[in-house]
Amino acid sequence: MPTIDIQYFKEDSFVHRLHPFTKVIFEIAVLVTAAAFNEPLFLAAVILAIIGVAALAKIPARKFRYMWVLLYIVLFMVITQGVWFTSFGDFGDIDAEFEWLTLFHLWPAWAPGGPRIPVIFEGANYGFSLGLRVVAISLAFPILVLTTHPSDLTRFLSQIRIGSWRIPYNVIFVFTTAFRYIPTVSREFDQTLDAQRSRGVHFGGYNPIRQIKVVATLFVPVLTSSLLSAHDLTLALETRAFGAPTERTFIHEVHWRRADWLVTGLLILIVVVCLILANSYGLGVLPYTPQRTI
Amino acid sequence: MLAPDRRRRNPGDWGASLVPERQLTSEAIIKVRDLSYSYPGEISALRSVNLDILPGEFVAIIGSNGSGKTTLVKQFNGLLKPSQGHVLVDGLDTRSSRVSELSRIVGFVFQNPDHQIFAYSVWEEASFGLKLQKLDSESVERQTSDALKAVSLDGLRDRHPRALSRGQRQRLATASILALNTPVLVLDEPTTGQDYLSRRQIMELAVGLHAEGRTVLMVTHDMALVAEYATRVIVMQDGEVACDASPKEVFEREEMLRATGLDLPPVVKIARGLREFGFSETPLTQAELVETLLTAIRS
Repeated sequence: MPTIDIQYFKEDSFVHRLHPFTKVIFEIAVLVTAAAFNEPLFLAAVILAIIGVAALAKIPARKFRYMWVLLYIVLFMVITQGVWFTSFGDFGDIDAEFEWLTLFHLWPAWAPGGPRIPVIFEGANYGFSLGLRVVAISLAFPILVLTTHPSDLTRFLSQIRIGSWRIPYNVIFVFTTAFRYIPTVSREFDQTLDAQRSRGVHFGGYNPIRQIKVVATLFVPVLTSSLLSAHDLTLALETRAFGAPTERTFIHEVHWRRADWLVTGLLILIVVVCLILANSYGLGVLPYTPQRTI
Repeated sequence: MLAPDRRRRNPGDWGASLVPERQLTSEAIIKVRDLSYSYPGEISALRSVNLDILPGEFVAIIGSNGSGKTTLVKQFNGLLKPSQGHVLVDGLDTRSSRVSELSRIVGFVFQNPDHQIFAYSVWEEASFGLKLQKLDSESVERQTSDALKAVSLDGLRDRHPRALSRGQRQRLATASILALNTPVLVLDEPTTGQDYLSRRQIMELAVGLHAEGRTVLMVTHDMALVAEYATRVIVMQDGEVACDASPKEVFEREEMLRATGLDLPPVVKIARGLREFGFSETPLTQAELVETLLTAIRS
């Protein structure tokens, strides 16, 4: 089982039966709402809603195992924003007196010249919300791929037309194949990691120069085998007359049902309400959000 | 730790008799106690496995796909840590030891060499593990050349690994582990996808290493090789040890093998076919079959 296991997960659920376009709208809705809010509680609500959708789609939690990597991103955001956060200082009006809440100093008071470099709560909180945005988006994104059969995705993309223009099939193929190869490359990566560890390579550690050397032992085999398998894939495609000028037909047709209308309507409603709440009433937006006044 | 010395193999027999008397008191080099393992979020891959691998054994681990063979051997160098129970490798608990530490005791040759080859030359690839151990350049030089000689790649030391054939790359991957001079060697399906000649070479290499006194564990589907070379056979089925005996004993239990989805080696099949003519032996090699047949005919 590869670490990053994002590929079609066969299951009969409400989410699986939806039209791919509805799921794309869901992704867009997540992007917009996550961008609208920046208060951790509101973003947590967005994340909970996404988890609800994932549960509705009956996706097992192990598919999201790779999410722990995001912990580092969240931590990084919290620390950097805690130190460098400048809200009213750089832009915006300073109408009200605002008391910054200093959590602690990176350069402690007992050190010569201290205390310096304060870590402020507002900054850390803002950084935390930025991290949560990343979590929300990376949690929602795989749902499309996990719940949509690759051929349905291909069919949907080939249906898109603007006037007489359509997305070229080659582009669609590259797009869907890229998804298909995420777990494959992830598995290669895991196996390479095992192979190198068993000959004594220790990943992790504090010497940066050594770490760069060590990482090369991972990426060189993974990249070479990816390139080689891409080459094999082109040969396999050529032998099956890929790119022959024909009108393509599909075994599975995707249909837009009533449920899709309902879900799309609901999603648009939610997005509009969230935008109004955030922009007109300032709900879910931190009062010290950095912004330029035009 | 077990020092590699020149010990002769004793075909058809296994266990204590292989090990010189001095070693009889010595402990098993790999001890597996109540080992259970499940991959994250999945059903268990290993269930309460108990094993003792003695120094100097040539163990074949067989079983159908998904029976837990590779999962089991990956426990031996700490790539996987037990969910329950313990694995002790030369006294070290794998739970609390790093893989890089255990890699000095257990060498692990993977099925696909392309997962490990990253260097620009054969020499660099084969010596990489030794350089990590911070050995002096003289020992690196000596151990690497010995390993490359053992897989007959010493003439190609400056060649780019990608310029080698698949069989040669497999041997290079093997050499890079051999160079580490580990007392235990795990070969994960070393002969899959290899032609007859490469299979032969790999097996001769394994036999040679075993004769040097190293403990060899081999995961394989190739029953002919098991019959010919192994001194002990562990049959895995659904994450459990279905049978752990000498090759002769294992191949006599035909129903058990059938149940685990395994086939008998050709030589044993011939002997089975001769059963109705009063032939009751279970020979393991062609030579043994011929010999026992001749004695049977003569008497």
